[in-house]
Amino acid sequence: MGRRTAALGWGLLGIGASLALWHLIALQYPPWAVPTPVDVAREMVRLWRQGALLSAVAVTTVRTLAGFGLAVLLGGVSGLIAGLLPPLRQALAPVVTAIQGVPPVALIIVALLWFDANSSAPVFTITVAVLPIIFAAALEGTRAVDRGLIEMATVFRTPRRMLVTDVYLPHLLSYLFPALVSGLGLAWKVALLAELMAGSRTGMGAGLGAARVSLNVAGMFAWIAVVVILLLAMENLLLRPLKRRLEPWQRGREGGGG
Amino acid sequence: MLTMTGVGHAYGGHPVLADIDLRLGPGQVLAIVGRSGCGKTTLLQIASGLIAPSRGRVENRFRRPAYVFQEPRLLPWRTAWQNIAFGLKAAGASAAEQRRVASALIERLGLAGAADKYPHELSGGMRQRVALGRALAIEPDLLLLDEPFGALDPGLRADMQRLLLDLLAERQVAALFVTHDLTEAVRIGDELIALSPAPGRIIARVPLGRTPRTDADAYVHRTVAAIWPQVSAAYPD
Repeated sequence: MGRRTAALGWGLLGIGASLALWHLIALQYPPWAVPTPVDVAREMVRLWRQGALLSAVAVTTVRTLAGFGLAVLLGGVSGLIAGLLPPLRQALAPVVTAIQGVPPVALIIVALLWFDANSSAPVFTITVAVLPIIFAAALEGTRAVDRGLIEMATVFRTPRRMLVTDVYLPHLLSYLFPALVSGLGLAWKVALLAELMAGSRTGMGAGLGAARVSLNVAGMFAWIAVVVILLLAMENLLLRPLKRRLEPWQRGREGGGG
Repeated sequence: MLTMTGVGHAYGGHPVLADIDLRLGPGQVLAIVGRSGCGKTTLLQIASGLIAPSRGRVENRFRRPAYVFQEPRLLPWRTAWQNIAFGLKAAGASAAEQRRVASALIERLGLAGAADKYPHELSGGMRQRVALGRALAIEPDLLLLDEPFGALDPGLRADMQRLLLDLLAERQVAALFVTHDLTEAVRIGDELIALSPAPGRIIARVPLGRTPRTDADAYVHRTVAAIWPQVSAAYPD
């Protein structure tokens, strides 16, 4: 416990030092070019009071989670199947690499042609951008399952379904978690980008766009800060507790082995 | 009854086993000794049906074989009792049945208090007990044991050997017990088969008596000395 408290302390110190540094730099420039953290906080409060903040956060969160959820579902299932079937793996691997090579910005432009800029275009873009990360992790996780455990399960005549639920999936989950965390981060960034590029009328990207048009730098910083706070909250209040809940066997486990 | 006639096996043209004839009756314990690499594990895998031999015939009339590996091979994401119940779950037993059988085995194997622990929270000896419990849970009529105590330190090994002897006697289960340790084979087996270095051939068959409960160590050492001339060819140095 002492080590965790210490880590938290150092983490807070790092954030505090960064904010102080930002403040000192901002003081060297006019407020309309580089706002101080205080200006940004004030702007966030103003947006909150207007009610714009909450509705924009809600809209973007729904889009992000929809796209992310789809990517996890499609990428997870296809990665698992590809991991189990070598020919499919060899067929899909170059396709997924190709998809991964497409920059999100290009995806957005195509998505705008096909989908509605105010709903499905951001969701589509997020799904396509995040899917390869999840697919690759699910594929690698499935392949990395301990052969000894598979042999053990075979000797005990384990039915195929139980092999997936009791051996492959729990193993996969621990492999998937880092990918979920980085995938969620990417999903937020792409959501913002898609909303901004598509000229969506709602969402945080729209808010950021509006702040840019009116040259409200503090407003732009405020929206960026909101995205960062949301991402941290999602990771620490949703994903990590979920991980602890789903993987009680990882608690207090040092390194691999076992 | 398990019968092997003229069984041989090769991996990619590289022979590991040749001309194996053996017969294992119900409740009988057959110990197989030999140096590492003499095909002992392959022999067990053939007996379990995991692999088909490249030559010879295997007839297995045992209906419920169970395997104990050299490593525990426990699911890290399942607790001790869930690991013990794994084979039962695979066989479609109800949750209540799984719990009941696992609790009884946990008691019997001296794992009291460890039921809800995960494998990484258990010591090496406890993990191997859980693996033994997982095999016994399905009430096997044939136990295939592949150097199950090979990774344990000597004190623990002796404990586990005693426990296994008692369990085999209690349950009247047949066993194929593979080990490189001659004293262990003498202690556990009713009969002993020694394999030559690769490709493994049977170089000696030695009937053994029951290990007495008192002065077991003296009996084992006496027997090892007596049979050494017959089996020494399995350990060229």
